[in-house]
Amino acid sequence: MSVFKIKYFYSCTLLLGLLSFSFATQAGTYVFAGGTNNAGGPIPNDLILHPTGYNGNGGVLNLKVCIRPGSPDASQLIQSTKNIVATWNEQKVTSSNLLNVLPNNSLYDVESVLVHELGHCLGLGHTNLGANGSVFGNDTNYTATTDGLNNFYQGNAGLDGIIGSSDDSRGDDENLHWFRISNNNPFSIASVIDGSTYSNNILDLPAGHDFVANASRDVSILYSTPNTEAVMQQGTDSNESQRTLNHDDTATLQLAMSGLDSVAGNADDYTINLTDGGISNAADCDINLGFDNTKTQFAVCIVGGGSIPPHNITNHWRMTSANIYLNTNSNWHYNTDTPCSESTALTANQWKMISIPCQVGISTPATVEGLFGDELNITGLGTTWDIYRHDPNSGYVALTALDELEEGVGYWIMSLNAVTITVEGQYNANLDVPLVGGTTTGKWNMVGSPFRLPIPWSTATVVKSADGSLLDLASVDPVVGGTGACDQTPVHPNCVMADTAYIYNGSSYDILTPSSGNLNPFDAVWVYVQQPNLALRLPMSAAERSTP
Amino acid sequence: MTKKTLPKTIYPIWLIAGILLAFASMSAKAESESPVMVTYTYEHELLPKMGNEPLLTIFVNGKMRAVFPSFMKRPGKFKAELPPSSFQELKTQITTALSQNINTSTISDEMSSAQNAQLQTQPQNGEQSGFSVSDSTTYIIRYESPQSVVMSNVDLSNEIVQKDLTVMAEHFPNINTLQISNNLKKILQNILEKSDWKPEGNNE
Repeated sequence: MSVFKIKYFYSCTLLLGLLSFSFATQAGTYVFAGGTNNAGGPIPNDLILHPTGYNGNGGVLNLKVCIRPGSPDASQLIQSTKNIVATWNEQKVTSSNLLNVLPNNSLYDVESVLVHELGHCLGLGHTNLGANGSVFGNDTNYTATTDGLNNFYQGNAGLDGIIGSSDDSRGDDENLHWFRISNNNPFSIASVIDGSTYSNNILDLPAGHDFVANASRDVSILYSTPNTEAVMQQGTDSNESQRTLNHDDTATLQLAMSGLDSVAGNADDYTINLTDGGISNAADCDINLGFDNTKTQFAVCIVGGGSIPPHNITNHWRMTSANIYLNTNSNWHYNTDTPCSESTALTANQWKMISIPCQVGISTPATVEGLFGDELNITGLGTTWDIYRHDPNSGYVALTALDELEEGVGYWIMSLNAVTITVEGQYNANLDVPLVGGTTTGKWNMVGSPFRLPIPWSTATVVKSADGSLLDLASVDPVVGGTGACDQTPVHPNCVMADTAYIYNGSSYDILTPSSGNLNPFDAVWVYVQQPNLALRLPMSAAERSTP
Repeated sequence: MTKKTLPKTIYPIWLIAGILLAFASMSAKAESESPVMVTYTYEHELLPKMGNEPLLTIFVNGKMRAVFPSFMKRPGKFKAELPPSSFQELKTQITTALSQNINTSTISDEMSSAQNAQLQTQPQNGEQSGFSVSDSTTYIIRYESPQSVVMSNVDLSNEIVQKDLTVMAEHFPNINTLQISNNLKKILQNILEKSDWKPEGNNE
């Protein structure tokens, strides 16, 4: 029986027209792609849109984000503006980024919406079709395309029944979504991001793939990365926050950063440096945001853009204006600087392995001084207290006051005096913490929990950086000949990472195994890693996801 | 397999059905209250679709009904009465819109004409430009002549469905149909935001 069946999304008469004159309302991975220009001509499907100010010369692109003076409730936007600036600067990839941590079910998280809108103002379009006027309901989750020569969208979810996945059939709809050539997995990211590793030509899809997969929450289940969605996926729910980027969000931004030639590592590459301009109408504000009920009934990003002279390459444009508007009548939730606040006690003169249970570096500092300067006198660093990280290749490294700590990494800390330390910041999502593997002997890595609530070690997974595939503990340390591959001498070739972890209890090590043991907040452990190019992912618990 | 070929600029059937159903229900309600003069509602692409009832219904006698959806600060069903001065302003604007036959098609026609004119002036140096609205609001205004409704034997009604009406009107200041539509939308939005709404069922 043929599995190819085209479903025509909608049938309506030409009763109502949604106007698109000189006006690219088309959703796409980059704004403008597949739309029409101001003269009514077509814009290429493979258009890459660069932020305001990019001239093709490369370097650091400084962009100031400002809140419009006179905007109603302008002060309510100050914290979230700082946060979204930091989030897009950091470009940290996360999974499990859909949280239910708002105070009640009817609120909409302004920061999550602003992260999405700022993505537009940096050039990114929607990853899905979205509610674009002729698509609704679940069909909005099909991957972003044009409606093709026949002028209507087509789609069949394929054998998996999941809309937006790699086995979709899309008729003559033309793809707009850039994908990772090696695996078409939007929940993974290449180590080099440019036109050699990403494409929007479906002829470059891996064998057996029918269409480009997008990073929707439904598709995330297929990749064992549940509760994950690209922030550039159109659609938002009340009582949901989504403040951290997905692999696909970061990859798409960084693909543009490979410049006009789409080759990473040469002179036209750029990086972006967003700054928070506060409430200001200064002439150097590149992206402006605020409330204006005439512009939108919820939230909108309005951009102007065009060719980059003198190059005038048809498929590379830059923005010339970028404005975000919100509506005051919506029932917004305004984030604070420290929704996450966790404490742990240090016993006098006793080393402790710790990790960071909140997201730092967004609304709170990530430096040693910023994190611990209140409780531990920073001038005593190195004399009355110490903190170290461990480099699997070179050993221990003492941290200085200005060194930054990272979530998911383990540290040793010790104070001569008993003290309780508190870490404050935002809620973490799932992180892929890079692991350093060995050659013949393997390497010890210090990793930690990024969470506020306990997680069983048994749920730990290892991500293979090459293809984004996930391995559970049984797979990374399989039993071979009655003994764990990593327990053999010499280590068996099937050993990827030992399935046990070791945590210091003040006098000796406790062992976490695939059948017992939790990682509690602030806990860090040793893991033994045999193979290279891996990352550790500790999946967020259901309680963590829903506990404010 | 039956294949239906559809025009590109179509609108979802649910929205059409919802509007017609809502208008029908309002018309039914009109028997006990007063005929409907105008309904005003919108859909936003980021949000789940609204219910079938219009956000704002204004009757010929100046009474009003609002249904605020769950994403708004004060959701629920409300009623109010339009002050005479505002009512007169609204009627004037509706009369203007009707006299110029402002509806989705006439806006589309005028924009197409402007587009064709602009095509003739395309720059020759290869430079291109564009304008984009991400996460649009679609406005739906259905209005009738106050007089025709009262007489109930003349079909003088129109419907405007337009994305990002104010944004478009500002971007295309020379398109008259957009300007008139936007003026009507502004009045309706102002009524929605500034009226003294009382919860339905409250007789105070």
